[in-house]
Amino acid sequence: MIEFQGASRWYGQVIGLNDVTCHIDKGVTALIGPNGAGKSTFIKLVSGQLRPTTGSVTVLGQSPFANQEVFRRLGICPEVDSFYEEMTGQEFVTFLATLGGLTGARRSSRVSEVIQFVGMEANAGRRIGGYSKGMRQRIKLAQALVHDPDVLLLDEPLNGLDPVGRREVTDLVKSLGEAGKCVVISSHILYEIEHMTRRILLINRGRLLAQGDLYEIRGLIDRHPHRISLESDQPRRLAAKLMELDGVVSSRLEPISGAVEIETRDPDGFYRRLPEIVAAGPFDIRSFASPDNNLEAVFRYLTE
Amino acid sequence: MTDSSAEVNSTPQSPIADTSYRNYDGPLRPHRFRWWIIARTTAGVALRRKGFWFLAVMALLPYLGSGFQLYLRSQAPQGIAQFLGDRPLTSLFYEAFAMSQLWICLLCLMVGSGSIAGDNRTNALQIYLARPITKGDYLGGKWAGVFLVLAAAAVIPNLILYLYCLGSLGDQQSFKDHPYLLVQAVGCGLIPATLHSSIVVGISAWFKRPVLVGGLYAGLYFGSGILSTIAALIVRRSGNAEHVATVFHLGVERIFQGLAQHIYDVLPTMFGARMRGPQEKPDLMIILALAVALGTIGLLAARMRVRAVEVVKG
Amino acid sequence: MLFKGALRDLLRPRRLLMAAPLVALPALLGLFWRSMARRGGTFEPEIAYNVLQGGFVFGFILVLLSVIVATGVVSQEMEQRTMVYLLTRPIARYRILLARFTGAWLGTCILVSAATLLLACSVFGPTEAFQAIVWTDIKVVVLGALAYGSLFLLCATLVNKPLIYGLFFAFGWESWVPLFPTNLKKVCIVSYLRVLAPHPQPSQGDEGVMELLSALNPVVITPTGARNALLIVTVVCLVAAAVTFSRRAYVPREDSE
Repeated sequence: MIEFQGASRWYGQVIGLNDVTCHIDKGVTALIGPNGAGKSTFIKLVSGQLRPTTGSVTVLGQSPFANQEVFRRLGICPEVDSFYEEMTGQEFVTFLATLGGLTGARRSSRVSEVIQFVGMEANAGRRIGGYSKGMRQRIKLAQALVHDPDVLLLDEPLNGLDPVGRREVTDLVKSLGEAGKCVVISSHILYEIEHMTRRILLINRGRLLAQGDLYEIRGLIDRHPHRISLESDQPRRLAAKLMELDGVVSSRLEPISGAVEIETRDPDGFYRRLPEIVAAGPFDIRSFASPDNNLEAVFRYLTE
Repeated sequence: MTDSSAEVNSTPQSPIADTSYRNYDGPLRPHRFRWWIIARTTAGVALRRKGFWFLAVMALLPYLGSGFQLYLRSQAPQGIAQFLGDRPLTSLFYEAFAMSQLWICLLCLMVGSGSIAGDNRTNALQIYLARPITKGDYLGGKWAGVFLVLAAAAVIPNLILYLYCLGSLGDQQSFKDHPYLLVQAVGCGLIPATLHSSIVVGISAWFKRPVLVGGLYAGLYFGSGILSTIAALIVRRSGNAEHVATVFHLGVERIFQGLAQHIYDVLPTMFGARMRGPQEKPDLMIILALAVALGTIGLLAARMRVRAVEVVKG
Repeated sequence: MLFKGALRDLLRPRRLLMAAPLVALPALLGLFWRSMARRGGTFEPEIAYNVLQGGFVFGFILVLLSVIVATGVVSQEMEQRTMVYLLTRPIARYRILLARFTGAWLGTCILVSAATLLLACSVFGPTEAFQAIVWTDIKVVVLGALAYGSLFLLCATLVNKPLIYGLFFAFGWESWVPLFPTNLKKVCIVSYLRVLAPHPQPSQGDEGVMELLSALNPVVITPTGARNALLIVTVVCLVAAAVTFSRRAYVPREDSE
């Protein structure tokens, strides 16, 4: 649905995005990276606000810049907190629904639907100028959804939302992805991103550092062995036993919890052998977890 | 070795650098200089704009024109020199001053219209006023930032022309006739800078959109000029000829011109020829009072409006 | 929708409150002139109308409103960063621009025509206000707002600080260049407006050298030529603005990472 071919974007002498090649298909894809990494430039290129300086960007098979065919099927929730402050929330969504091509009863019903969907029915009649940050975020989301787009770009949609709102948006994004929409979501809140999708695009300093499944990417980061933490009734004996396995490079005892934390370069092999070790005894393993097999760790390892 | 260095050396050194957050323990500037930080930032932002340099060069051109006239007068054959006339130097300074005013006004719009309006739009006032600075520091800093930029653009061309006169005509009677020329030139440069910055900062404090501030100040500046022309005509046709010159100079730009006419003791000319309008100077006290009133109103308006808390309506 | 939005934005009560003094000012000046004449001298409504309409309405209100309103079509959206909402909708960019410009132009016409009518009422009296010259002026206001507006719109699509450039043109170029006794007059919109709506200013014997030179070397422009010139300016500027707006990226620099 979205295709970048060697796309770069310069702002004068500053490079926003540097030679990015990637493909984004249906489902939810998270765009992650530190501040100034190029995430917003990426979204502006996809939403046709900018043209790439070199290379190409296509959305639904066409160049998105000033392309009405693409815009008919694209919704964007921009990061900037900007509105027509004099309008009410209802007027704002209706205005943009009309520009999106909706008319008559269909428009009215869609506007009501999305306003209800984002939980703004009680405040839709108030001036946007008087909205709280969370309300502004919700109404911005409503305008992006109102014309039921196939491609949805959400630039930091969780900013300013309370925990309940975040949960609702997270569920919404997941459901849109499951319904076959192409959702690109950029966010700094890695924990919540992880609950929406495992598919990521990691950008840093304008370059695409990694793309694909989070766990596959994690598995490929060789220079940082996987940490696996296990709780047992006999941690010292367990540690000694685990050190005999291929790929395990270190083990240590957590002083407070008493858990054993090992580092392995072959996590798949380790997990395959783990049932044998448990069965052979003589120790119980109460739990095990991988503290760095998550988005935050991947993010840290790839950007450090 | 001082005590402090001994203390540092006595601290056990870790092979790993401490990169955790540290509170600022460097010197704090005394309170009286805090306005200067805001002024320097405001001026610095203006100086980084290409448009500033373009407008500043345009404001310089009339002074270069006056210098060129002086050069021609000294180098040209007798006939041409006579054609160019033997006008006093103050007249040339005044002409350059009058012609550069449009550019100084545009500079003021560029630099001043967003000075406080930009902060209003982004709620930056809360950030400024949450620091140990007073409203006076903030306003003084904003005013001084705009003033410094405008003063530089208005005074430096005067100094350049003065230095040219000093170098090429220093030993001639035409130069010696004006012993206070430097003071006059600098004074004339500072008048528009002072008044522009006071009014535009006052308007800027009341709005969130710099464009609106620019439009409003442009309306006041140019509109008051047209209004004063029409008012002078009405006064003249009503048989009050003695007040015509003063009424004609009641616009913002005309106040600058009227004050400059008094400072240089000249009548308005363009390349030595008379300009449309009354051929006498306005009443000094009236236009001076008007200038002071406008500046004061501007600053008071800003003081009244600037506050750290944003009141949201809706 | 965009047209209505632009018009409604311009004629919002708060904006109208700000524009009201400007619109009422010529009429108030007319009343002031009348009251001054009562104390001494005679009041000639035609002269008062010519001075105020030519000098203030055409020379100031029309130009100032055109600059602010027409540049605002683009720069307001950029400044409040709402351009993204318009440029990511399935509407051709030139239609967005022209629809918003039409709303802005109509709003300008309404305000400047109101100023003209109020002035006519104040100098001629309410019963005699609707004279042929007033209707001619309103027609020229419509044409002038179109020509100025399209020029400033083009400026707004091309540069980042259109207000500064627009004000320079309106109050620098348009004020000074027509004073020079050359064909440069023909690159000033005000010259054509003066041909279509001549408002001779009374001679007070205080003319400068420029006015005297201009009187000696008149540059002839016919009304048909003036009308055509204004239409050409409008068409060329609108087409250029539409093409520019369709091709350029309008993203505030500070928004880009």
